[in-house]
Amino acid sequence: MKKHEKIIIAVLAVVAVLALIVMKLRTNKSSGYVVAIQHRNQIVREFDPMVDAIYDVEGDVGGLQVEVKDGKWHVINEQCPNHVCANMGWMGVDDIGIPITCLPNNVMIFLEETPK
Amino acid sequence: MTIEKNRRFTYLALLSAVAIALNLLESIYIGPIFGVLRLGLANIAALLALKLMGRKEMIIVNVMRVVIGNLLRGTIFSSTFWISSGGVILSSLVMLGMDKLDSSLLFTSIIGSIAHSSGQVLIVSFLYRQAGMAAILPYLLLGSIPTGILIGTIAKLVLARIRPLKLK
Repeated sequence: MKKHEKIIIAVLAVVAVLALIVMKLRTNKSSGYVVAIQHRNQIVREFDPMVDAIYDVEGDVGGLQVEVKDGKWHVINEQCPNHVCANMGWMGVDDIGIPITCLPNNVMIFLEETPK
Repeated sequence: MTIEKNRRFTYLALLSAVAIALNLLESIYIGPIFGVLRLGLANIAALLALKLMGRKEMIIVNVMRVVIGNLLRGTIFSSTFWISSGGVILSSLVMLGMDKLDSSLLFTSIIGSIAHSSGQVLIVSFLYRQAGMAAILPYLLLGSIPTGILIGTIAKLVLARIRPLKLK
C-alpha cells in the first residue's frame, strides 16, 4: 500500500471514530425516554430514566421516594400501609409498560414517552 | 484469436463461479459479524477479475455474483436482492475509479468494501424510508477497513500464485 493511501485510510478511520463519539455524546444528552409521576390527576414530575437520581413525591398519606438507576426505577421509603408499590420492584424502559401504583397515596409512575 | 477469446470466456465463467460459491458459502456458513458486518469473500473473485483480466470483466463477475447468487438463494428481486445490488454497483464503480487511479490492491479492496456497505445503507434508507440508517455508517466504515485488508491480502496471495494466468 502506498503512503498516501495509508493516510487516506487513517483519515477515514479517524472520521468514523469521531462520528461515533459525536453520536454517543448526542444520545447521552437525552435518552428520549420520559417517565412521569402522577399524583391524583396531575403529573407532578417528569424525569429521564437514564439519569440516576432519587425524587421525593408528595402523596395523600405521606408520600414516597422514587429511586432511578441504570434506566430502571422503583419506589422506596413509602409512607403507606400496603407497600404494594415498593413490592412491585424495579421497572425499566424495556419492560412492558405496567405503571407502578400506590393507591393509598394516589400516586402513579409510568413510562410516558419512548424514543421514536 | 479464437483461443484467446475462449480463454477469456472460460476465465470469466470460472471467476463468476468462484464469486457465487464464495457468496453462498459466506451467507450460509459465516453470516454477519456483530449483526451487520460481512466479510465480503466474493470480493476476492472481483479483485482477481480486475487484476487478471480488466475492468469490464470485474463488472460482469460482480453482476453474475449478485444475480445468480440471489437466484440460487431464492431471494431474487426481493429487498435483499436490491440491497446487495446497491452495494455491488457502488463498490464496482468505486473500484473502477481506484483501478483508473492505479491504486494498490489492498487500497482498492478497502475502498471497495467501504463503498459496498455505503451502497447497501443507501438502498436500505431509500427502501424503508429510514434516513436514520445512516447512523450505522461509522460502524460499517470502521468494520470495513479490517475486512477490506483481509480480503485484499487474500486476493494478493492468490494473485501471486496464479500470476502466469494473467491476461491483462
